[in-house]
Amino acid sequence: MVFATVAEDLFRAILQGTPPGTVYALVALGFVLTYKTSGVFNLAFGAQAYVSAALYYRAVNDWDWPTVPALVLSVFVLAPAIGLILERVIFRTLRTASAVSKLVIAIGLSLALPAIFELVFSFEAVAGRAPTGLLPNGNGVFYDPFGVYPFSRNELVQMAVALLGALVLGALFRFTAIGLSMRAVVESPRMTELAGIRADWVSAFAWALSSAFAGLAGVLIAPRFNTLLSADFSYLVVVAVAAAALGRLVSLPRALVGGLALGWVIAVFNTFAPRWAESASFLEPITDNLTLAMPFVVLFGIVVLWPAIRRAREATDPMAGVDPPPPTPTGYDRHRYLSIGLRAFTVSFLIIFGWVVWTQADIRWMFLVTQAVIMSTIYLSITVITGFAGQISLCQGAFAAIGGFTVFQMADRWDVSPLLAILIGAVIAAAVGALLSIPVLRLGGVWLALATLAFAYFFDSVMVKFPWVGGGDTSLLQGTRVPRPELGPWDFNDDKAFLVLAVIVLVLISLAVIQLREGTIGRTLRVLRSSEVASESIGISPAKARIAAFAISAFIAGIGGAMLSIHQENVNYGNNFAPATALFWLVLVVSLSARTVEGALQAGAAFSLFPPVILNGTFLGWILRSEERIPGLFPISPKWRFILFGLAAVQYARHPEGMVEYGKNRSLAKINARLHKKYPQAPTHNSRQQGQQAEHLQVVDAQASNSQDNAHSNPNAEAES
Amino acid sequence: MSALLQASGISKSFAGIQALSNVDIAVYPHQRVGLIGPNGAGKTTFFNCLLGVLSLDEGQVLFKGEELSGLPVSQRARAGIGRTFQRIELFEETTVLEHLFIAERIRNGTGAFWKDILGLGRPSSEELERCYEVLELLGLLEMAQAPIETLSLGQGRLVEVGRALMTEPDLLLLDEPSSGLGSEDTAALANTLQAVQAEREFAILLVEHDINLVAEFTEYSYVLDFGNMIAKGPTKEVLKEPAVRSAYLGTFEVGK
Amino acid sequence: MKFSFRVFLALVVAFVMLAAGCGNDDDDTSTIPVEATAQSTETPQAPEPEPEPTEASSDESTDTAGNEPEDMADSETEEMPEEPEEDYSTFVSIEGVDGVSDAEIAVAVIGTKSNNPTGICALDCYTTGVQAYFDKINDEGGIWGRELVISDVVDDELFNNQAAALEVIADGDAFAVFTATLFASGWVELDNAGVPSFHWGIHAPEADGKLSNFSIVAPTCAGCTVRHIPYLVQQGGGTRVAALGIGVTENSRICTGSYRDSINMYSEEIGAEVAYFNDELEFGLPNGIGPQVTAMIEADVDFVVSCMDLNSMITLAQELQRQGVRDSITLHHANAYDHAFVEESGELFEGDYVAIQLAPQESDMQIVRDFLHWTEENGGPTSEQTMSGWVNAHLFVEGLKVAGPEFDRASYIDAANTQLTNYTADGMINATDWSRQHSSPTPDDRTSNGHELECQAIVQVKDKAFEIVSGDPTKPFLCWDNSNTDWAQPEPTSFE
Repeated sequence: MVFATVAEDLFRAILQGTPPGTVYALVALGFVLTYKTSGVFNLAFGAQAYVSAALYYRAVNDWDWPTVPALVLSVFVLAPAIGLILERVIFRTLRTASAVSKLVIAIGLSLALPAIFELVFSFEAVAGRAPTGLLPNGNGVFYDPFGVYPFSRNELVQMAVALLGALVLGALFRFTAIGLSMRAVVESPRMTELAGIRADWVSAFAWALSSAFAGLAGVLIAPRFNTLLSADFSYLVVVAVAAAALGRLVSLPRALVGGLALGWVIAVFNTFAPRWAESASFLEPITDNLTLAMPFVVLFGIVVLWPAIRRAREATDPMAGVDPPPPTPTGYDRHRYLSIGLRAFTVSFLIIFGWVVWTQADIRWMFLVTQAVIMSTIYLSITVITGFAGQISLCQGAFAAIGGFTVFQMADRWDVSPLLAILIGAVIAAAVGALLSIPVLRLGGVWLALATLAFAYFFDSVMVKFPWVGGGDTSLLQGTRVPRPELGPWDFNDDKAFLVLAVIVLVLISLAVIQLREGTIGRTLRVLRSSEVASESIGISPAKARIAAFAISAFIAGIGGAMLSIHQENVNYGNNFAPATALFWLVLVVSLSARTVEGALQAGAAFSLFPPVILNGTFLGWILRSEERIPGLFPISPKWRFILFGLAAVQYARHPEGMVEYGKNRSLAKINARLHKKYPQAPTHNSRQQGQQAEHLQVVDAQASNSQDNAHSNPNAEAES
Repeated sequence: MSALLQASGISKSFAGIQALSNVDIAVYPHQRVGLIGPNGAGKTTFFNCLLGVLSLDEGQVLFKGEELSGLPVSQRARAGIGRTFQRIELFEETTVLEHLFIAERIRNGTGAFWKDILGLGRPSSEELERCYEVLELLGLLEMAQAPIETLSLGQGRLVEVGRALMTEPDLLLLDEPSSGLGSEDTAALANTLQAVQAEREFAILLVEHDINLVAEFTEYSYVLDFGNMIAKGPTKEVLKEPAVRSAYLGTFEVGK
Repeated sequence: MKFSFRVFLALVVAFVMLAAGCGNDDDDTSTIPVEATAQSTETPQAPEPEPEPTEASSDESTDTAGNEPEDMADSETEEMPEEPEEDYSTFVSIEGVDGVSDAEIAVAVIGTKSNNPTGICALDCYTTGVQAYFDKINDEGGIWGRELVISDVVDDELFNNQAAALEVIADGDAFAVFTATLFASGWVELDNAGVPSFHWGIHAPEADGKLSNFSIVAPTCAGCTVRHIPYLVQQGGGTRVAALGIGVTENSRICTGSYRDSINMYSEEIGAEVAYFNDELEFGLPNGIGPQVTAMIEADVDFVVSCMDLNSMITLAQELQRQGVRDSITLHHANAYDHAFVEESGELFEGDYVAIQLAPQESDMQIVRDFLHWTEENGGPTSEQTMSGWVNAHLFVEGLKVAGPEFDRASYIDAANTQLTNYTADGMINATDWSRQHSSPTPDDRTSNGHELECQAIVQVKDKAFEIVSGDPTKPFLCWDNSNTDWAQPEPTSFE
């Protein structure tokens, strides 16, 4: 089977790239289908695929069902059911939310769905037990139509479904009424209703259809993996997005071609690159790493360079103005006394908490609290880039990792004090952030998020390996160890001393962030987020402002990452800074509150302390005064963390100001109103203020009480786009 | 006296449609100029080309003698052109005062990162004074602390004007300011604009549909139809021209 | 009827909790119920028939019987047979040492169960192995008058190993810690706190230099040439060899490079050469391995040595099958010693070689028989991770023996490091000298921190089962003299 000509090698390479390409195509198709029919950037597609694949696996392997009933159950019952639930409970009420909100929800779902499934079905993956496909011995029987490279049964089925799917779905959208209705409903549900179409039913059907396709894709793809894990499916989605992006997310045929092309390019590259590297050894570093990086390089390239994407503007619903605007999120109608009271409460709580920790905490709790403090520092970087500048950055993990790796390299190679290295690392991170932001300046919402995601994965697959990043002479023998610093009389090997250092760092950065918010940069970012054209009209350069925001955010993340590595005495990259972890951070911060420093602090506490305190029953044990009395329900399975996380993400879209602010405003609304009545605010230039505030508050109350299911956001007012 | 703004030979097309063909427009200092024409005539496109939001296919824009093309939008704004928007573009979650303040801060350029961090980024009393001056001019002094969401449309338009004024423009571009306003509010707006312009001495280029407003407010007018200049001259005369009337299908009355 | 999100949420939560509660009764890993095996030191049984570690042992067991004052009247065993040094039943009351009470010596197990991305049974299987060995010892009367128990099993959920370690340290209920984790971030804490730690040996960088840290096999030399690989090639009749590794982990790349170097080094002696080399394969092989296999075919490869995980090897084997060369290429696996897999899908790996760190279960050794027996008593499985737990527990007990009846953590570590100079786990591992093998040897210095003998246990897949390559089930290890790198045929060796 050895051929001499390059053409034959090329042909074979294309054939070899077709099976993986088909997998990408299937995922890309499903992804585009969901986007077309719901406007949702469904990063949870992989999770949906996984769930159906897992149920099919369970049915066929453990319950011994025959293929067809198992297929029906997992693809035509479970998958659409999930889709219908998602549509009804989450996405129907969020139709007018920004695409970015939906992205955040999708991320939350991508973690929550597998966790729920695994919990309900007690499902655990087992290494080496491959899922079976639809046909018997699907991975073992091969057909060789061209006499060059054989395809297995499973692969042929995948190809057939991909092709058929593209054709059938394409025709559905082009030629049928329901297809047109689905697209119309995505753009403007109210207008379709005016045309006599029941938008809710159409929307439900759309979700059922796209979810069924996700389930089908999952069942078909699963045999390619030798162990059934949801993380593999999510990874596929990230890669397939590159393929879907070729069609600007709305073209099914292009998604098909894009997926195949991705597979082909990788296979061709893997075939020919070693030959090139043989003749030109300087190419080696590139050829070594390019395959790993290729999907992300492609994704980044498409998003940044494709003019159609750069200029794309999300379709706005002409009838969106019908819905009432959301209540003013921030509490600046909060009475002064209330603000003072809240602040006093927070400060005294922190003082008491700090005293308790200082005197009572053992090394474990000291560790967890210190970690919470440092995570809050990292999360402040999200406050800046997402809360202030309104940009979704999914690569904060990479920035933090740069901080950590810098400290490691500096200490390892040149014996630089970690304290100094923290600053150096932060500066390097800031430079990287600024550089990264330049090509993505004009991108909006979701596309910017994608570009940052591509960078995060690129950093993870390629850059971490470089000797000047994660490697080096000692790293092989000793890993990426980081020493604790010493400064004069203070030895930070002592955990208490280090906690004090971490708190100082957090306080300094919090203050800086608050000052930024009230200063020129904060205000600039705020108005830029609100209306870019108006900002430009008063002389604000969006480019400069965004670069600054990225740089500042990366700086803060770098400091946090460095502190974390010093705290753990090791960079622990895979543990701390992986791309998926950064997604988790984003959703956590954003659901609590991205706009306020307090939100970042709460997110840090939630990340580090919620599982051990609540999920493990420690809190309950403390209340009950005895570990023995904790009910057997505890420790609650850690999977619950992801479920709650998913719920938090869903809540975010309903309350973009964050659960913290929402909760506070709601619970304090009555007190606030009473304070205003009893102690009218001192008059300012504006004597009409009180009347207006009273009116405004009534509006807030009225909307709050009936807005449970009807929370809409005015896309004009939506700040995150 | 030389023109403040000299736009010559402006042409712009989108996907085969010629939005502007060889348009020449000049605005002199302290002049009030109108730009009118039926829907789709290219008026807003012209604005966008002026400001750099769109790129020109052909033509040249000179402002105060300097070539504008090649400058990004924000730079053109800093050169002395302010604008308002047809679809009102206010900054959410701010007060009226904050609207003006941010424009003032950008204009005077005293903001800096290090200043912010050290807590020196708060509004100074001089800056606030300047904001209050403009608010007074616009009759919005009472509303200084009002959240922007509580304003009526007319008040919002005034705030937009105020925001533009803070940049101390030499030329103010008004894009259909009466859009969505009733006749009373429109008249109030016009009066205010006149008073402000008398005080601050900038030129105005006004795109409008409301012919009465144009007739009362502007001295000189240009008329566009399908991207072509079909008439120009002193406003009152232009409005009488048959070509202009037929472009509008004769749906207006001059004078009253 | 208005739809209430809150009600729906409450229903979802209730449903999931119900389902989880029903399904997960057996998944509760908070504590392993401690079977009071009611073996006290009064049993009239003879002290455990522990075989002496090796013939060439330089072990000095501390003498016990009769030298310490006994506080409990009933602790002395009646029979004082054979060698006094075999009696580990003396009881001495110990105060103030975490995990040691008058009745028990307790240990904690930390490992990854939740969020495990590999699908390998880690924490549960490992714990079974530890418990199995503890059961054996307890059955024989315990040690130093006490029973061995596992006081706590902690799931570090993949990301929280450091916090879990600190929790165990802070709780103070465990004398030593056993870990089967995927991210060993907690070992620095254990070392700082001086806690004896045992683990399954996949985290050499984190273990390096830590005297309190003991793995099933001593840290191996990354980058050293080895002789078992060229030997295998020779055994398998290979002449043109491919070396494959995963690009994203430095360990895998170094491993692949060292295999290539090894074959090159002995190329003449074995009549084989490296025909294809690729250490940049993608983890999980998401794009398959078609072009690479085609290239290998073009290079006439007939043997593949690898540093890849089981999933990748399965993909490779399937691709070889697809391109019609499965029968003409023999594979070497580093991570495929999985009985369940081989029983189900063994044809895929038929004729391949599998290297393992420990003596395989197919060996004819008492310790292996004990392992199989006691593991099955605990419900199995008898996987490699279970064996790791068993061997770690064995080392722990050996350390206790040499530490004497009165010990604390520091004296334990000290005793283990000074006296376990020829530790073989009763034959399950290559003889290890813990006084000098806490750091990895390097290619420049193979002996200061290295084994005396360079050994490897290898099995071959035959008819869905494993066969020991050395040919002698009592001598499963193939060994070379580690003081040189000369080529030689290996010596089948037993460490029993």
